[in-house]
Amino acid sequence: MHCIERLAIKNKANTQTLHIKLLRNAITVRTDASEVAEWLARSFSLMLAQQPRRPSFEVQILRSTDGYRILRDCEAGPSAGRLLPNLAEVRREVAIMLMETRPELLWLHAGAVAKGGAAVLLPGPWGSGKSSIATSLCASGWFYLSDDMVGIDMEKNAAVPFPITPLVREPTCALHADHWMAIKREFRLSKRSVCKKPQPLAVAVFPEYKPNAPANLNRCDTLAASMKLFESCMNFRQHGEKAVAYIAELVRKIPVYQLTYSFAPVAAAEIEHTLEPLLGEVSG
Amino acid sequence: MVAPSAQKHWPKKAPTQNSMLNSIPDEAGGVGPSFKPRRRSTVRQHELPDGLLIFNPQSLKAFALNASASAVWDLCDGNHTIADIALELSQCAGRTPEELLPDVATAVQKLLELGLVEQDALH
Repeated sequence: MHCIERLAIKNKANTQTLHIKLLRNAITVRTDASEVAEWLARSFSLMLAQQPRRPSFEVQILRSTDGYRILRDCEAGPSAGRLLPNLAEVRREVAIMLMETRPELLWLHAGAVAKGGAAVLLPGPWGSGKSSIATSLCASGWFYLSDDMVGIDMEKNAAVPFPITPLVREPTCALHADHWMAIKREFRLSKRSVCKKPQPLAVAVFPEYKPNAPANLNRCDTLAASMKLFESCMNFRQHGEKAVAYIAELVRKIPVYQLTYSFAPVAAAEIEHTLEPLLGEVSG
Repeated sequence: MVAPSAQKHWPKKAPTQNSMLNSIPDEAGGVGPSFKPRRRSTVRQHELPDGLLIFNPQSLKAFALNASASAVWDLCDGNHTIADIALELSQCAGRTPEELLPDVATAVQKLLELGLVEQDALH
């Protein structure tokens, strides 16, 4: 186990505790299931922290016959909390709780990577290949912000790092396999390849996986881009008009692209070739 | 004011003869040529190079209007009837008002259903 994980997991009378941090906020997770503790420690290895003075949430995850029951703060009783069927759902629920510690951010279902002090946003639904593209770019020297959900600071027009361990699909696996855990593998990132500070948004790329398609990166019209961004919003209702105004301004200000591809490393090379000069302009 | 881009985006068709501008009757639950749509004052709009983003704070929903729909939207001011809108757009769309009327009525009906326009109060 990684040293930072040992630091953050404390075993006390069959209950293991993790502290997971996002910017200055943290949540504390306690669980009686060792597999949950290990899975979360791996998933959030780059976000684990010492015990916070005052966590935003305290969460309990208890093993049950049907999966795992997740309880927030003072929830109690046999039917309290939510029942999650598997570890993948546990990871997602904990990620959403972290997201809720920063409601002032506009959260997008998107990946994000950065180079030269400027970020490329990769919004897209499940199966579009956000993780594969993000990790392919990181493998060639880009810096990681997130592979699945990104918080946007609308005042600063910057993407906030949410460096959950990326899960990437094996290239040979079918997209619609029933057990996605079986077809995804963790992509280990070094701490050095992860952005620590928010990065200004310079470009948005909407990836779309198409079997056997060559990598094609084309400019996208602003109307279509804005609707795709709305579809990616995870907390749109919290921001309403402010989010609409921000998205309208964003698509007017930054170049937006549609990417169709079938092989992520080739798509990443196409992004690098086309977008690097644009990122240079932003950071310069 | 018709969006300048409407001219190139509004679909062109050969004009047909003997069609009447008021060929669509006013119907209960639908919109007819004398319907005067007005943009709801609470609705917010943002201009984009290729259309408009519209936000309805009541339903908390956002909509994208392409150039053609934006042209109709711009004329939903409570002063123009649907027939007036068709007439005005026909001047830059290369189609007759009669041809445009069904499309305009459909667009206004949709805007009405989405809660983005209302019938002019004085109508």
